[in-house]
Amino acid sequence: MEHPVQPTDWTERYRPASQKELEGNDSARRRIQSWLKEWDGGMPNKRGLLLVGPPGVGKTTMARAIAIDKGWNVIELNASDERNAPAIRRAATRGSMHHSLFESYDEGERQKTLILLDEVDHLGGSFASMSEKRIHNSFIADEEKKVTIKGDSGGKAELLNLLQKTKQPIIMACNDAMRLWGGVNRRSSEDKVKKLAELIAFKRVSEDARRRIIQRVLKGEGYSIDPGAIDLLVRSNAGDLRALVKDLQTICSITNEHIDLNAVKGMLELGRRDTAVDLFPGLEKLYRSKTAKSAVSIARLLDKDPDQMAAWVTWNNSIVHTNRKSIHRGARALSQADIALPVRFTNRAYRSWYWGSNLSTLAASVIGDVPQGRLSMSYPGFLRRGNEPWRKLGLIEKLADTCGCSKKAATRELFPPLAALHSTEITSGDSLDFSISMALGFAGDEHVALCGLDSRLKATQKIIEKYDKQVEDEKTKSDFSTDVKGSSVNDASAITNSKKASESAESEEEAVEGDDEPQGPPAGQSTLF
Amino acid sequence: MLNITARSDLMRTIIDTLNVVVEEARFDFNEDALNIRVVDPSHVAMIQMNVDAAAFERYEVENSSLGFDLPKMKDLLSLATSGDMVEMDYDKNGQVNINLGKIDRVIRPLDPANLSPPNVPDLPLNAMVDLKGNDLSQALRAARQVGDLVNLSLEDNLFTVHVSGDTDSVNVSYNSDEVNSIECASPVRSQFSLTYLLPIARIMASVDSVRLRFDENKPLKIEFEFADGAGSVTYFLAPRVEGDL
Repeated sequence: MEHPVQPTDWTERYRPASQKELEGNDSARRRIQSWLKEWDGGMPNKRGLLLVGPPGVGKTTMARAIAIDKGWNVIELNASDERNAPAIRRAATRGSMHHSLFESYDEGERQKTLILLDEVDHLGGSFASMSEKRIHNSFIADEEKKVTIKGDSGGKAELLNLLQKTKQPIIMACNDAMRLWGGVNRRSSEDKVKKLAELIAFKRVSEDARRRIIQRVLKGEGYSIDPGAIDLLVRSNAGDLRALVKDLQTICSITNEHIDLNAVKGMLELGRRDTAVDLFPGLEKLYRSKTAKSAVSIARLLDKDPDQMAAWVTWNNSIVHTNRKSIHRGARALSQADIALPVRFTNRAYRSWYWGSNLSTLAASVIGDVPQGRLSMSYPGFLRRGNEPWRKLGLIEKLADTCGCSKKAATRELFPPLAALHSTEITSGDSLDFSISMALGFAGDEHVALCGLDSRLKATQKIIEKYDKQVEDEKTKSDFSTDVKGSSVNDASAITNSKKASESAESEEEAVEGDDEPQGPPAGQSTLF
Repeated sequence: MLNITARSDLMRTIIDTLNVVVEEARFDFNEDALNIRVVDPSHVAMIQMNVDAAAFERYEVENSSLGFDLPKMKDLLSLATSGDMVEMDYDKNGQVNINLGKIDRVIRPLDPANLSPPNVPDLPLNAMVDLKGNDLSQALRAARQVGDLVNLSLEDNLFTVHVSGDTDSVNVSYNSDEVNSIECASPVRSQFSLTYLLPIARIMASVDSVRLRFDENKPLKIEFEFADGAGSVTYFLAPRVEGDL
């Protein structure tokens, strides 16, 4: 039991123990090396590294191999360990302020202990710190006062604490930096971490490197392989080394000593590995796919749920496709998807998810023509929060005020059609039609915000000038006939009223919810006065 | 096959001592002794423990390794009064049957493969002081009142526990007449965390002879015995990183 047993998992058995066996991501390796070297002379400015890259490309393996080559001790915290604030403090933060028992204490160059945290993007909580008292109380033995902290709570906050206090090098690894920053206060979380840790990006591993790894593993196991088989294996892998070695183990378990093309084919048929594909290259493939079957299978590899997928396709269809007919056909499929997707909420027909998601991906690919040339897809603007024109300049408050409706109704009912009438992105829209804005009593900059124009542009500034001038003119005119303005305001509220009537049920609910609506006493309730 | 009986205080000492460092431990039951080595997740503190077969009332063992969840054992033992006997029996079903008076408890042991024992560091430590556990415990509790970073030093046959906080400081010294024995060739000093030291000091409080070995900026090694010398504990603690180093 004392002597080490060969790990049964080949990814462990062939995990490089030394830098010499590392493959790929050379620039990242050089940076990690030089950063660890800085520690020999004292503490670098940033005491942490954050390795970001797809799974299975060897982020933690590389960090560990370099540290071990330096003769350093490594403390590892994996996603499988409990990683709430007290657990991280116990293992990492405290360790980072001490020497390790496994360092060499001989005279001469002092060793370090590398603290390695894997999958930090899966840590729980926000970067807001957990109360010190709660953490402290989780350590004390007194049953009465003891606080149990479950799961990963406070993990991210303790990560910041660790990075601030550490006297040992910290290396963190994650697949998705965006998930680490989190949705709320994304910018500030990102700044906080980047101030303390340097970001290093990892790429998928090249075909040559994959080929060398296959050869190394098979040599170690005493297997031989046909050249055609190795080509197919290399090509079918997306640069995920962990998946590659696992696949090899599977193939070897069903063959004896020699791997031929059929064995590889059989394995690939049996279980096509789900490799998450990077979003933008994946989307491009989706748009270029010629058959419905390939489109659906590519979309399945994209790490997006059906609702998000529909949003991405909706946004990018109008960018990628130039042919009007194609856009039209795509839009029809998308609207079908839009109907199918929410059905699961009403009658739990989860099958609708399948239809909905496939429809939206099909909308992208098989609507007639395969796009040519460079595709420039982008992040759906409507998925970004905080950038919407209606958030600017208190437009909604003004609309609600003028039309006598709630802010919510103004946002949902009034603003979209008004914006559509003025938006330059839509052919029917006309940003130079000032009549409505003026009737609503908007100022020039408010008008351009309604049009969705960037107020910093010169062209936009000209529109503002023109608008203000026209308002001046109207004013002088209205001195003669005061009725003009009044009547157009009425027009606007007439639109509102008809809209409200058409969806009266919903609007009524909203009116109750709308907290800006003046709240009179409920019907039937007499007042004190 | 494993069949042992022990006084509950012995079991409690074993479990409590190990629990200072870890929550889970692998117990290696060998022919003539129980051996345990554990290291805390931060690699800062370690315990090596040996309990001779003679310490047990009954010790019938074929070499076997069992992993235990220490808080779980602690809970069970809290039901015992001193003098109670604990019977432990490991059958081929992979379960540990523990009997404590009228209580029969079945515990599924943890997989020992996941609890591989650490290598014990081989350290040449030149300074040594042997003193009463109670004296050490009191000195450390005094230190705690000022801060977390405690300096242990040995100079001219004087053992000193010293903490300096922002405004306060505390100094506890023992000369060679006040301790069991002292050895030191040249003055040495190292800094440690009371967060780690205090819990083990509490365990040692009733021990007559606690032997501390340390050196200049090297780990601390504490040795003491229990169960009338049948059990021995070696506790290792890594020093703090001082300055920017």
